[in-house]
Amino acid sequence: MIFVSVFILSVLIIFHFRFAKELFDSEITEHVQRKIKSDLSEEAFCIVENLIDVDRIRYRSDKELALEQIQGKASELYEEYEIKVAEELQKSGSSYKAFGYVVLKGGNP
Amino acid sequence: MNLNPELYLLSSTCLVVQIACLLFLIKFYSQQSNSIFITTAVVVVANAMMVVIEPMLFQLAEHYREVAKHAWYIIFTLIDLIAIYALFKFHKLLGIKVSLSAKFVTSAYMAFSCIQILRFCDRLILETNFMQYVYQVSIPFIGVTMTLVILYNTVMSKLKSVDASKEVLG
Repeated sequence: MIFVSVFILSVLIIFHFRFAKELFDSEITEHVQRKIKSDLSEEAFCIVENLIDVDRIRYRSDKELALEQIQGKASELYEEYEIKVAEELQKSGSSYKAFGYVVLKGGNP
Repeated sequence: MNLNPELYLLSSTCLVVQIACLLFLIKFYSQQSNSIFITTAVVVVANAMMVVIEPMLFQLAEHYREVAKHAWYIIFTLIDLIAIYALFKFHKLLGIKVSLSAKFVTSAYMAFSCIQILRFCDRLILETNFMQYVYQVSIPFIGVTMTLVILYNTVMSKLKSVDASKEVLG
């Protein structure tokens, strides 16, 4: 019986530390996200500018092509943002999720 | 094993104060106090569970003393874990910034669990009983401190919302 209790308590304390760590990590994540967003704001602004320019294109086929290009740029930018956030988090050692994310995205873990 | 009426009264009083804080927060709800509201609600639910379960465990101890000893530490650690998980999940789901009171409550529940586990080892594995006094003092102490922190944050959140509305009105 004592072994069962010890096992249950060990599992419980591991989950305690995990959730508490994630709760404390959330603020660090937000700070990193804000920092990366401000770093990438210029590129994001360019995308918005391009979107406004698309409205001025008269022909439908040209418009669709331009929109596709912008969509591609936007996805690339978002991917860059996520990888940068993950790398920053990994550097500070605050999130194990970041590590997995960088590996999945084919970055340098 | 008998229920300590003084300690039980203390934890029940803490629960009443926490419920009053929760009702106060519901009455004067504002966006700014979201994290404090969630923290208070989680603490109220966790504390209510503990207050309800405690006499049940003493009843169980009358018939199955050994089982009750083991169940005591496991159940209270489990309640602490549920509270931490609820705090984490609600903050994440609602995308709320974690307030200082939420961090304090999480730390308090961590401390609760560590004390429970240390006492478990001390009482049932090592059989030394060194922790008996520490356990009897620290658990109510953390509970009272947590209640005071919640009370302070409830009052402060109301004062802050009054200040904010004054600023808006100019």
